[in-house]
Amino acid sequence: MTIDWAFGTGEDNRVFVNDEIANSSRDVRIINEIRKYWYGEVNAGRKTIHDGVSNFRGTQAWTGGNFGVTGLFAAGLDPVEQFVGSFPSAITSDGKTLTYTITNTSSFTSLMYGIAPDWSRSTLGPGGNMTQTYIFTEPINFKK
Amino acid sequence: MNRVRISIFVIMIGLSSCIGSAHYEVLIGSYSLGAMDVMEDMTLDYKNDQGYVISIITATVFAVGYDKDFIVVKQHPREFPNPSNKSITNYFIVPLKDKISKSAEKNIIGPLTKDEFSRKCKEIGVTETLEFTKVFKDLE
Repeated sequence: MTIDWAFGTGEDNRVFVNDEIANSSRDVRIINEIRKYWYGEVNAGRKTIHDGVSNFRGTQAWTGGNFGVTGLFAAGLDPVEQFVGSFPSAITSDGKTLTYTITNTSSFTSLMYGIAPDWSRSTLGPGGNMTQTYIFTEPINFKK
Repeated sequence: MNRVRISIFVIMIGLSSCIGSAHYEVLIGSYSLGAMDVMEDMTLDYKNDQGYVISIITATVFAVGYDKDFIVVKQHPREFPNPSNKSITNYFIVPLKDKISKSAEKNIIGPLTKDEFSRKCKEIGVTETLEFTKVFKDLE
């Protein structure tokens, strides 16, 4: 995906659902935080089992993202985690299953840590904005 | 050994697409403006007691104003991955003093139209001097 983004090739918007790429996000720090937050809110009675969480950003890193230098080292050589970097996440619930959604835009702005512009691929392909949505599900389990 | 470590670090930096964010700015107290990857991601965020940041007004926030009692927000709604819909402008009020909910996620009045916003401001005592002092022209 990094090569596709750099050269402006492949799909502009990509969606990964319960596949190898989406599943690789199940245990990253922000997902563990949103999972802990959802169970905590339901256990405390502030949310029902059918409530979701939208736009969760978790613990903030130094410049407002949630990846930071800590994430850089925690991700190690995991190419998907390194490629996504900072991301917002969300949970929806049907009462039995939690659906996790991660959205990410690969842009020149995020590569340059906010000090450079971004552009759409229709303006210029190489380095143009490319979006990804990663979706995976897991059964609700309060015994975890 | 050091060469191996340095090589691994360089590979990690090369792989990494985003350590920081496109924009981050504390407004007042636990409230901040943040855009993760591009400016169109701009949201109004709240940092809760657990240290977790949650966006309480979703993208694309393009104007805000605040005093010690209220935050007022203008937003063009955005459905990821589409661009924001600039034909719609939603207005929000976040009460800071007389909160309507203990949950920050629910302590929001809106989305409102411009007329509804004006009426609500008078009703709950938002001062007429409170203006949208922070405007992102590119997002407007």
